[in-house]
Amino acid sequence: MTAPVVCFDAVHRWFGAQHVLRGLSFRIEPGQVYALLGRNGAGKTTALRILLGFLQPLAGKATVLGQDCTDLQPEQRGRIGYVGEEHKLYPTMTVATAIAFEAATRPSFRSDFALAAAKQCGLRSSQRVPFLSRGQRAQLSLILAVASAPELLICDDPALGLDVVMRREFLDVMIDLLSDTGCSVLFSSHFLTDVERVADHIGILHEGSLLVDATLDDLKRRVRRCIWQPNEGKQPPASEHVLRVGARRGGFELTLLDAPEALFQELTDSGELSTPTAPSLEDLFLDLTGPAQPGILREPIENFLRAAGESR
Amino acid sequence: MKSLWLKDRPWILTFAIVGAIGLAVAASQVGFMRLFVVGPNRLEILFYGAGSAALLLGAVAVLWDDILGTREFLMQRPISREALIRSRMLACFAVLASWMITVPLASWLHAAFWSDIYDLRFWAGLPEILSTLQIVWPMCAIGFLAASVPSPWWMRLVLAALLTATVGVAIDLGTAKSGAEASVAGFALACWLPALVLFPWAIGCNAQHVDPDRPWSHRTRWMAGVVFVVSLAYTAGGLAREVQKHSISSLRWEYPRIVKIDNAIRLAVRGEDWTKLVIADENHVPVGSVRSMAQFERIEYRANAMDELFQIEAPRFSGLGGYEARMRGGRIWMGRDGRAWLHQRETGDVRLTGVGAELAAFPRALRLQNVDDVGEELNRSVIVVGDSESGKLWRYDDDLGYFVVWPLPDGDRFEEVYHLRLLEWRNAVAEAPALLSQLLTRDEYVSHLRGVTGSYLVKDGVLVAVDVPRKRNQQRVRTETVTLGDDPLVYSVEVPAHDGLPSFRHDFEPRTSAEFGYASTAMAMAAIRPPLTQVANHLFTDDHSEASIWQDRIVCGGKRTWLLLSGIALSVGCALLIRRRLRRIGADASACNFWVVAIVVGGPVIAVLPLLLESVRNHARPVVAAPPPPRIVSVLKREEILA
Repeated sequence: MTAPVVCFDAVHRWFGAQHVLRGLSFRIEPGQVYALLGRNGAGKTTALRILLGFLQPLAGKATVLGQDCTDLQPEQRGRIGYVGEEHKLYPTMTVATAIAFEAATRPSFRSDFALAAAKQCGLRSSQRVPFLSRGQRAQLSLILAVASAPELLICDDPALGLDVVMRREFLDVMIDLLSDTGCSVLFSSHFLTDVERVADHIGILHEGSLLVDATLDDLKRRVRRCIWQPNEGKQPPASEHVLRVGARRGGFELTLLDAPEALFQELTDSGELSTPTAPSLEDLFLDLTGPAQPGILREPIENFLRAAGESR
Repeated sequence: MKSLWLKDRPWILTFAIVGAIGLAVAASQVGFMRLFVVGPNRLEILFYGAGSAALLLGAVAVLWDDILGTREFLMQRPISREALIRSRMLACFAVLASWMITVPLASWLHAAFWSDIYDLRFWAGLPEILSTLQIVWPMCAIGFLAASVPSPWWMRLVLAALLTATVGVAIDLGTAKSGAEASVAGFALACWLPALVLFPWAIGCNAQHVDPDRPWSHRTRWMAGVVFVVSLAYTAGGLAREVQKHSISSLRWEYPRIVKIDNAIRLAVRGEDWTKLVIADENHVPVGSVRSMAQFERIEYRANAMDELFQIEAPRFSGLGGYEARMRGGRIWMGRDGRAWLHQRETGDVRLTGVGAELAAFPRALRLQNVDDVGEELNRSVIVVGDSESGKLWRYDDDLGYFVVWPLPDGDRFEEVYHLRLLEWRNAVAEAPALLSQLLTRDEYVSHLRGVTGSYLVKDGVLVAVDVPRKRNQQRVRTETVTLGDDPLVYSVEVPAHDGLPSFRHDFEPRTSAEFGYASTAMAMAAIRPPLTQVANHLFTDDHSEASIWQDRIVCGGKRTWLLLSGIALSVGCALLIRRRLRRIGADASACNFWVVAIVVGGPVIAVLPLLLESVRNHARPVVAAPPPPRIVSVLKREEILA
């Protein structure tokens, strides 16, 4: 079995009284594109900062490229690319000097590749960083991170603040640059449609713990959504396979996980059941992490979350 | 490193250029000599200005990426922390070196080749030219360190303030005794030693990863804690010493004077101002009417030496303390090589002056003195230089701009310049009324030039012989007194019987509320000083002549054991309270022990440090339970991953 590129093992981190990561555990295998999702404050950025060695876990262990994150050496840092959410670059530099600075501080940096990519994105070498648009800065940050041929690319919500067109362009550049490189990618994002385009593995963080750690295909295969109009007096079954129950025009909208054939049969027998479909990632995300809404029954997932909280 | 300087270019260039411009403007405004060759009439703005700029430089060098928000963008690179800090430090050194070289050198070249104001003697003068600017090194190190410490901003400010005070105390006490000439080497040592300690400490701080949610490691606590403790103890010791000296000085001022009045020796306390006195009884309570001080003859006594109050000030390098004299529009001072320098206040120029038109140096460093001219023109004085060895006297000629030989009448040889109180002078000099008309509105002292055979007064620029009996000098000797006890607060003064008066003795000790207040303050300061040094003082020090940061005259030489024990008890009490708090917030035994020992050794002031540095957050430990497994998990096979 190959060594994971990233491994979180029961990592805890708190800031004062706020417990941000509560035993986070997951791993990223070589070549995976892993999307870390979660609401604001779920702990995504904290997890990424721990991985980069900017923060230390207060319990548990995190490793990247086989090295403990608390003791990352320059050699390991050289194998990691990083794109921050604000795409910070030195404001006194031009595109060319930013590339030159990167080349001077990263031994494996490919200046030719970076210059060509910048040109392809319409960035002029003489353009000064403060005069780049947000989207251009995002593209330049990505080019700088990828041009050193990293084994792991870490992006902290790289599309934040970009409009739809720029987001799409950014993703296209990312896909172009990373295609066939074998580079593992760990990124956080709030744009779930983008995640569906790029990621092959999803992790959903909620209040510091992972609720989901699955491939996108697996999720689409295992989670089903359907409308159930029960016969009079019938209630949804209290099954562990029912993730969420929502009220819908006299009936219920059910989100089911790994539902066995017997469960479908039971629902069909006791009411009218629509054809089960795979929910979108956004729907699933909302089901798992969204706030309770009036008229929606949430007992199963609430019970699940409560059980998770108690076991902490 | 070159690449890292690329990103740091804005602050490097800004500081180098703005600093150079600032120095150049200052040099053009006040003159090269006054700015760089620090004379008695020194310009302290360079000392303070360059020091403050260097402090800012050090802080900006470390915080530059935090200011731009690019810290993480930088830190994720394959560059070690040591390389980063080394690059910043060298950039700082380059800026400081540019300050110390460019402007002083350019000014010197200008002065050497385009101006005739100064015989530069470059190599001999170089240390002095660069000396004041050396303050930039420790100040830069303080800024660098304070910015490097991984602590909240306020703690960094506290650290910077503490270290600045410590370095200031070290410079003042080590090299710049107020009013005296400082040694260039001593000042350099006082600047460089802290810099040599603080820069490596800053490197250590950058290598450490201190987290507010974690307690300090044992090593970090030792590294940082010891420096904090020594620095705070030193600064607190300095402050305690100043308050103590101020209290002792005020107590002495409050104590009654011993005076002769109505053919008796009495005690007298101050009236409503310093020119009035009131007879007092043994308990220092006024019992008589207020009288003018002129009606009393004071009996001077010396209880024991008082220290000067501390102030951080630029050192004096180029002048000898007291070897200077005021003149119209400026002043003249004497260098230790016997060269005299004339400073014009208006233009800021400092010019060489000396003996004769060739501006020759004096045989050695001689005292410059102002001698009052008692002639028609008021407030006029003559600057003279006398050499008692050769008997020669020189007078500064305002019109010529140099000193000329001023022979005493009848070939007399110069001995000294001395001053007589007006009252004594009036009684002693036979022709006094003729000379006195202009003196009544002047100082109460009359300056004389004494020769081997006579005394001379300066009148309208001419030496006039006056008959001042030579024994007059002996008559100035004060009544013999005996001071018993070497304590600064409590002592006895005995005046032996003389001139038909019986002997007199008074035990000075606090008796009034004001005196008790000052004495209590002085003793309270002794109680907060480090017990370790106080015990050493108490047991091993007998020298009462001078108080230092670590030396306390109130308890030294076995005095006031009760006060020493009270100080120790106070420290132990504070240490126990701190230990209790540390245990309550969950600190481990090593932290508790470290701070207990630090407080017991360093004094109660040190208790502030664990309160600031060991926070509840450092030691908080939330319950860490095993997390629930994710609800939806994909178990992947290797082929799936590779696919």
